[in-house]
Amino acid sequence: MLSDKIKYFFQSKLMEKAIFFSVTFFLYKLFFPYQETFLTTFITEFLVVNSLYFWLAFLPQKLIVKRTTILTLFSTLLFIGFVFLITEAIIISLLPEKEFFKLGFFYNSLVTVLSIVLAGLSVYIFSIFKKLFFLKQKYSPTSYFKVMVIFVSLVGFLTSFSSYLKQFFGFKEYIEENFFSVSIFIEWLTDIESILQIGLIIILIFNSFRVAWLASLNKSEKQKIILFSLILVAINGNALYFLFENSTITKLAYLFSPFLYISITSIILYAGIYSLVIFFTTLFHLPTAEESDRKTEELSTLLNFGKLMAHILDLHELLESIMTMSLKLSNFNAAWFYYPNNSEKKILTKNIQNSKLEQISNKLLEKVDVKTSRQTILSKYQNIYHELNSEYASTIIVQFEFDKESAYLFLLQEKYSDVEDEVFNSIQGLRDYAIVALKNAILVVNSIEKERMEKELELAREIQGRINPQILPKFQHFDVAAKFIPAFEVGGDYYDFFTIGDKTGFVIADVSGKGMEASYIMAEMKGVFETLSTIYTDLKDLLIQANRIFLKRLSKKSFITAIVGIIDDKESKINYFRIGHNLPLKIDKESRYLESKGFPFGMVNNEIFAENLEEVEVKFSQETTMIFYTDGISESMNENDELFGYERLQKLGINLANENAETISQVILTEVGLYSKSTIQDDDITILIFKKSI
Amino acid sequence: MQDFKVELTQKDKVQLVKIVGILDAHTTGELEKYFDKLVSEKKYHILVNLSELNYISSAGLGVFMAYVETMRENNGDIKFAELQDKVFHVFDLLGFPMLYEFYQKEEEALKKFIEG
Repeated sequence: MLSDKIKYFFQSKLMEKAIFFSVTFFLYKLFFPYQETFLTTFITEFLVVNSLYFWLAFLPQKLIVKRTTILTLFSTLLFIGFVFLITEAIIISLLPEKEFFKLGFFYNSLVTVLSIVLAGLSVYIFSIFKKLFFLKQKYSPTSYFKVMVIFVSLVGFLTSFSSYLKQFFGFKEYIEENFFSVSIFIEWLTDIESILQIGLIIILIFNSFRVAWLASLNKSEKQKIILFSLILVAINGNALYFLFENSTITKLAYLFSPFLYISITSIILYAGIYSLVIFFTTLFHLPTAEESDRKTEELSTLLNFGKLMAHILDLHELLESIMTMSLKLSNFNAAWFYYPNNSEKKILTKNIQNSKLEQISNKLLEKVDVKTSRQTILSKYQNIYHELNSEYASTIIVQFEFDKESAYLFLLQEKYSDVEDEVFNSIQGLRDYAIVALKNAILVVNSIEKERMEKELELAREIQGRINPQILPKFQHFDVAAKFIPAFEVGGDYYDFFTIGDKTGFVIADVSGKGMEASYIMAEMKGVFETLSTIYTDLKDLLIQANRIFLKRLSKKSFITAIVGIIDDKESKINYFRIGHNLPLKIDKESRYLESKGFPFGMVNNEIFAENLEEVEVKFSQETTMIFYTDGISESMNENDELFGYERLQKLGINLANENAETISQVILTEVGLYSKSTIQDDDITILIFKKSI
Repeated sequence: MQDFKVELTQKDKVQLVKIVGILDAHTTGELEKYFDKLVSEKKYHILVNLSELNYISSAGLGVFMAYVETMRENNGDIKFAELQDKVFHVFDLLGFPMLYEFYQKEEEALKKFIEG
C-alpha cells in the first residue's frame, strides 16, 4: 500500500512533487520555525533542497512550452523582480529589530509563507536566466551551468552545516576555550566556505557572459533591453542589499534555512551580474545595431527569396514579391514593374498609383541605358518628373532578362540620396535569383498549357482513330489498299466507306485546321455522310446537301477538301467528284493527274458549288491504278523546306505500276518517310489505292 | 527556314501586303493580326503580293476566305499578284481563281484596283 504510494509519488509530475515538498516545508516550519537540533536542520534543508530542485526542474519546461520572446522574458523578470523586492520589504517591516525569536505563531507563519514566496520568486527568476543562458548557444553549455548549480549547493550545505555547528557550540570565544579542536575545524570550515564562495562568484560572473541571444535582436529591441537590464540591475542590487546588509533578515534566514538563503542570494547575485553584463554588452552593441539590422534583413530577404523561389509559381505573385523585397533591400518608397510581353498585365505597382506608368516606362527606357545606369535623377527629365506628379526624386531601373524577354523594375525614392554600393549589389543579387525564379514560373505556365494541349491532342487522335475504318470493304474486281499515318498534331485527314443505293461509296478528305477542332469536324463529317447516303442515291445531290450543312457548320476560314466517289464493282469503274481536293493520280500506260473542277465544302454558296461539280468516270482496265491521297504526301517537306511534290509521286507511280495496291501504298509511304526523315511530320498522311484485281 | 514576315506598304488607296516565307497553321495567326489591323483602319483594298511566299497550307488559305467578305462589303477586295507556280497550284485546286483575281504583275493588279 505505502510502497505503491511512494512509487506513484516518484512517477508523478514534477509540479506535484514541487508542490508537495513546498507544502510539507511550510507545515513543518509552522511547528519547527528554527533550527535547534541537527535533526530539525537536516529535515529543513532536505525539504528546501527538494522543493528547490523540483521547482527548478519544472519551471524551465513551462517556460519553453510557452511561446516566449526575449522581450516578454524580460518583462516577466521585471515584474517578478518588483514582487521580490516588495516581499522582502514586507518581511523586513514585519520583523522587529532584534527579538525575532519571540515572534508569535501568526507572525511566524506569515514570515514562513513570505519566505517560501521569496524562494519561489527567485526560482522563477533563475529559470528565466537559465533559459537566457541556453539561448542561441552554439554548443550547449550544460556543464558550466551544472558547475554553477553544484557550487551553489556546496556553499549552501557548508553554510548550513557550519551555522549549525556555530549555533550548537555557542559563541566563538566559548568554543576556542573549551573545544580547541572543534574551533580549528570550524575555522577550517570557514576557510573552505570562503574559498567556495569566491569560486561561486567567479563561476557566476563567468556564466553571466552567455549573451549570444543579444546579437539577434534588432535596434529597437536592443534599446528596450538596455532599459530593462538597467532596471533589473537596480532591482537585484536592492534585493541583494536587503539580503546582505539587513542583519535581521540575515540572521533570520540563517535560522530559517541557510541553504535557502544561500540559494536565493546566489540567484539574485547571478541575476544582478547577468543584467549588468547585458546592459554593457547591449550598450556597446547599440551603435552597430542599425548596420547589423540592415545586414540581417538583407540576408533574410535573400533567404526568403530563395524559399519563395521554390513556392511561387504564379507569375504575378512572383513579380509582387520581387517588388516587395527590392523595396526592403533598397529602402526606397515605391515601385512598379513593367513587363511589356505580358499580355495580361503589363504594369504591377507597389505604393504608387498612376495611370500613365506604361508610357512613363517607355519614355524612361528610351532615355536611360539600363545596363549602365545605377540611379536616374528624375528631375532631369521634366516631362516624366511631372507625369509622376513630381513625387519622386530618383529611380533605380533594374532589368530582368529572361528567354529573350525583359521586365523592368522601377524603384522610386522620394528624396534623393546616393545608392550605396552594398544596396546596389544586393539588388543585383536579388535580380539574379529573380531571373531564375521567373524562368521557372514561365516554364510552369507553359508546361500547364502544353499539358492541356497534349490532353486535347490525345482526345483528338482518339476520335480520329475511331472514325477511320478498321476494316476495308471487299470487292470482286477491285484490289484496295488504304493507309493512314496521323501527325503528332491531328491534321484532319479522314477516309471512309459508306453505302449508297446498292453500291459502296468512298470519301477521302482533309479538314482545314488542326487538333481538336479538326477532329470534331471529322466526326461530324462521318455523321453527315452516313445520314445523307441513306436519303440520297445520287452522289451529286448528296454532295450539294453536304455543302449546305458544312457552310452553316464551318467558320469562314475553314473548309474541307475531299474526293467522294462510288465504286461500281460489276462494271469495274469508279465515278468521283473532286471537292477542291488534290488531283488523283491515274496510272495505266502512263501516270497522270486527273484534273476536274470543284470547290471545297463550306467555301462557296450552294449554287456555285453545284455549278462547279464535275463528275469524273474512271473505267478500270487490268493496268489501271487510281491513287487518292491527301496533301500530307505531296506537301511533306525535307530539311531544306522543299516539298515532296507531285512529280516525285508521279514517277513513283509509273515504277510501281505492276505492283499490287498494298505494295504501292507501302512503297509510297516509305519514300515519303525517307524524304522527310529529318523533319517532324506536320500533317496527317492518307493514301487510298484502287486497282483492278487479277 | 526562312522566317515568316509580312510587309505592309500603302499605294494610293491600295494596301500592299507582301507575305514572305511559309504560311501554314503556325503562321496564320500572325497574318490574321495584320488583317484585323487593316480592317480596323478601314483599309479594304488589299493587294497580296506572294512573290516570296514559298508554301501555303489550307489554314493559310482560310485567312483570305475569312476576310474577303468584309473587304467586298466595303467596296474593296483582296487580289493576288506574282504567285509562284507551286503556290498558285494550291489556290487553283481549291477553285480560288474563280473567286479571286490573280495577276502576274503587281502593277497590273494596282492598275485594276485604281481603275475599278
